[in-house]
Amino acid sequence: MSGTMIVNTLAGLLIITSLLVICVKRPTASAVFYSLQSLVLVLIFVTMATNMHAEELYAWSISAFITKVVLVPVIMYRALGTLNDPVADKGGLGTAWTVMVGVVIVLLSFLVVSAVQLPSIAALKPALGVSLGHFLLGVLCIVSQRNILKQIFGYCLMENGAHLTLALLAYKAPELVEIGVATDSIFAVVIMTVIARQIFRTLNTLDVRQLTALKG
Amino acid sequence: MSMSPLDLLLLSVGLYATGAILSLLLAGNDEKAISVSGVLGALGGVAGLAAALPVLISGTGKTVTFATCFSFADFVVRFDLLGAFMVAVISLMVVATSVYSLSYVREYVGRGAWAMGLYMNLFVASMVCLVVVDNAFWFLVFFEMMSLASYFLVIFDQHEEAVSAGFQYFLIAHAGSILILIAFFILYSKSGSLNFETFRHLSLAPWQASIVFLLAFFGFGAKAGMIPLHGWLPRAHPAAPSHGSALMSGVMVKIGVFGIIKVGVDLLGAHELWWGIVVLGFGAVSSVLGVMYALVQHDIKRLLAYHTVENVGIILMGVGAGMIGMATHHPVLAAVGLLAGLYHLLNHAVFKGLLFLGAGSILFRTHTKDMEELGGLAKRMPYTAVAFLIGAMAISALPPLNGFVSEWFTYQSLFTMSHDGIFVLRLAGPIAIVMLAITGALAAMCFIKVYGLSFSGLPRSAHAEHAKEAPWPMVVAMLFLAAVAILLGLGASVVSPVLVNVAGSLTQLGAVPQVAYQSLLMPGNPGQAIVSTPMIILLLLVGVVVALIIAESGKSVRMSRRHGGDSWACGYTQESHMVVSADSFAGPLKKNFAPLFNLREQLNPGPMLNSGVARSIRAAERAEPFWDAVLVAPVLKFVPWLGRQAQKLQHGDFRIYCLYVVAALVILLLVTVLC
Repeated sequence: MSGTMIVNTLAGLLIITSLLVICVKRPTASAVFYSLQSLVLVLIFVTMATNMHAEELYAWSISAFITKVVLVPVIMYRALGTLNDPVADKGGLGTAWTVMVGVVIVLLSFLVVSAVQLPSIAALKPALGVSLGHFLLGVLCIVSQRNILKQIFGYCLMENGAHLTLALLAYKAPELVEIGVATDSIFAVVIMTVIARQIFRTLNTLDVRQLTALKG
Repeated sequence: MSMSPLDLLLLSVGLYATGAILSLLLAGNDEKAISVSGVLGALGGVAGLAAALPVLISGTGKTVTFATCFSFADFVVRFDLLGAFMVAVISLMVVATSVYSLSYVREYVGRGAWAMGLYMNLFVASMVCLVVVDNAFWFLVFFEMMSLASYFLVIFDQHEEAVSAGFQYFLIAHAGSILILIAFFILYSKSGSLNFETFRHLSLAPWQASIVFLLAFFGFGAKAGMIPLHGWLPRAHPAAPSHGSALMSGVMVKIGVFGIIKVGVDLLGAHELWWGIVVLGFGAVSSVLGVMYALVQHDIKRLLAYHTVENVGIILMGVGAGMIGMATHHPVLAAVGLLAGLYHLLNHAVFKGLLFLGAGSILFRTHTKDMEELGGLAKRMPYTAVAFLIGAMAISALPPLNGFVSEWFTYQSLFTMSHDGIFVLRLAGPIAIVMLAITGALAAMCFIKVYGLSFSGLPRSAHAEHAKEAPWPMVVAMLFLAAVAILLGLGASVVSPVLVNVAGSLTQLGAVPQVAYQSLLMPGNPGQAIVSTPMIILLLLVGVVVALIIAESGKSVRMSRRHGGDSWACGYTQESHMVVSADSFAGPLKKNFAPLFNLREQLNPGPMLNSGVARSIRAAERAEPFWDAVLVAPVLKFVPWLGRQAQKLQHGDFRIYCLYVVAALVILLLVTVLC
């Protein structure tokens, strides 16, 4: 089994884990699945680093492991575990529909990516398609779910997708960029978590339909 | 150092202008402004007389042209006989009114008296320039200056009636200006120049000339206050300060007559017979209706203003007869008719100015213009009473005063016309004569009423009771005009040859007829009529002397003093309400001529203008919803609709906003990829 095949297979695993993040009811479960997904991502980085002799990707995988596999899930698990709004957990798009839409998104992403003509990633096209699809699945999570905590996960999925794209296309990038991306996601998650707790404490709801004060 | 008439004329205008500017500079110091504007105005009047009289006496005018930076607007000054005559009339009146203003305007101290000095002097200066300028452009400029300056005099008091009267005056004056403008424009389009000299040599088709004449006739007629364009006059003249009324009534309306003579006679040559008949007809109607409306007035200044309508009518009758004479190539009729018109123009300026100054003196001392509130002023204001009486006699055309002379010439011209003319004229002449006779009779009746109610009898109010004689500058001004009125009557045999020369210079029909021989006056033909004003006064004096002789000779048999008790009132106690009032005096007339009084309401263009304005407002109100419905309402509906649609974008659910962000990204990507 070649390295590229391993990368492409792991990319497929990413899709499944992200669907799990979206579809499970409890936010804490989502945090666990998110951690799992991030682990898959780290494995992709490691494989690529070995396969392509890209030393930088080792540094990436280490920082991603620390931030995405450990820090972010722990923060979210600890911070969000106490928040519970059964109303918000209901509704939204059903599991079956979410899976169907996810399939459509992945197909469309492959279609889009097929037009890309870059020799360096000719073999990794499926992975690239997955990375784009992953980003869009993050959007799907945000749009289809009523619970604002799920939307934080949606953001994280988008972030993972973007991260994978970056690794596939620019794995020679300096560590600085990677560190920037990782810390960015941590800070964003921390801020969103704080806001979510504030919202729950003030309004006693996590339902996005109740939060329409933005309307002019 | 001797100055030519033109230098003096320039000096005169310069003095008026200086008076106006100094008044403006002295704004805030009313006392000084009154003195400066009054003295400079009077000096300007003297200079104007000094400029005009040599031209009138020598019978030769002068024309000078100054080029300006506009090729169409040569500043042509034509100081001919007609111009000199008008300058003389204006200057004479300005001398009197300026002296009068020295005291009269003190009433306005603290109420912007300086502005009155400014407007009066500008008003006079623009009139003087207007009558000597010989270019249509400058003519209109000065005409407009005159209208505006007098407009500000009318609204000077700022009360509601004055402002409303001023607005009506403004409308009618400018309606007139537009007609005149069109008339000049037609002439300009034919001659290619705005100089009057080119208009004189223009040969127009009769219908074109007639259009120009009618435009000018009604345009200037509005200024002259002839019926039916007189509506503004009885409102505007009383509203202005009295010395301003004297100038407006005495001089400014004559600018209207001057304009009719200028265009109809001087520029167009009065070729068409019917022009003269139109002028005569409007004149006759104006004179009869004017005096009738005057009779029923309570307000003394309003009454005098209606008499201006009447006298402009008489002047127009003379001018009309003269124009008929020109059209029928009858030199005597032409000259005598115009002589009558011009003479009455001068006389009316003098006695109407005098009467307005008299009314001003009454107003100054009693603060009322209502004759019902006056009475008994002859004892309290003797000089004013004497001067007013002379003015009243003159306007009633009693011999030997000046009004009599000019009306006599008017009669004579109408007699000549009825005698020598074609059938139409033989028909029109007697009708005009009868109307003139009615006018004269009613005028005499009217002034018996004015003098009787104001100066005789007992005072009918505390104001009249406590009146004092007017200050000396006002008395001097009135007595001066009274003396001029007498002199123009007694010295008619000196004045009329001068004026008939002016008339002759306009008619251009060869030698002017003889109108005076020693102290005798005659209408060109001594066989028709002769009269001598000195002789009349001698005969009148004989009557007085005879009465005195009888009184003296019967002194011994005279009964002892009889007028000690109250007046005889048929056995009742004399009471104040038994006194004749303004209403009771004119009552029978008002009843008998009711249709004519109703006519006034119908002919007055003021209400017509007002209703026209109201109609256009209503039409605009009707038209407005149409555009509202077609243009505004859809826009009004569309904008909120657009807003509501835009609001839908603002759903409130932030997931939608996320989608927007993604959609925007996708679109931008697509654009980048596809382009």
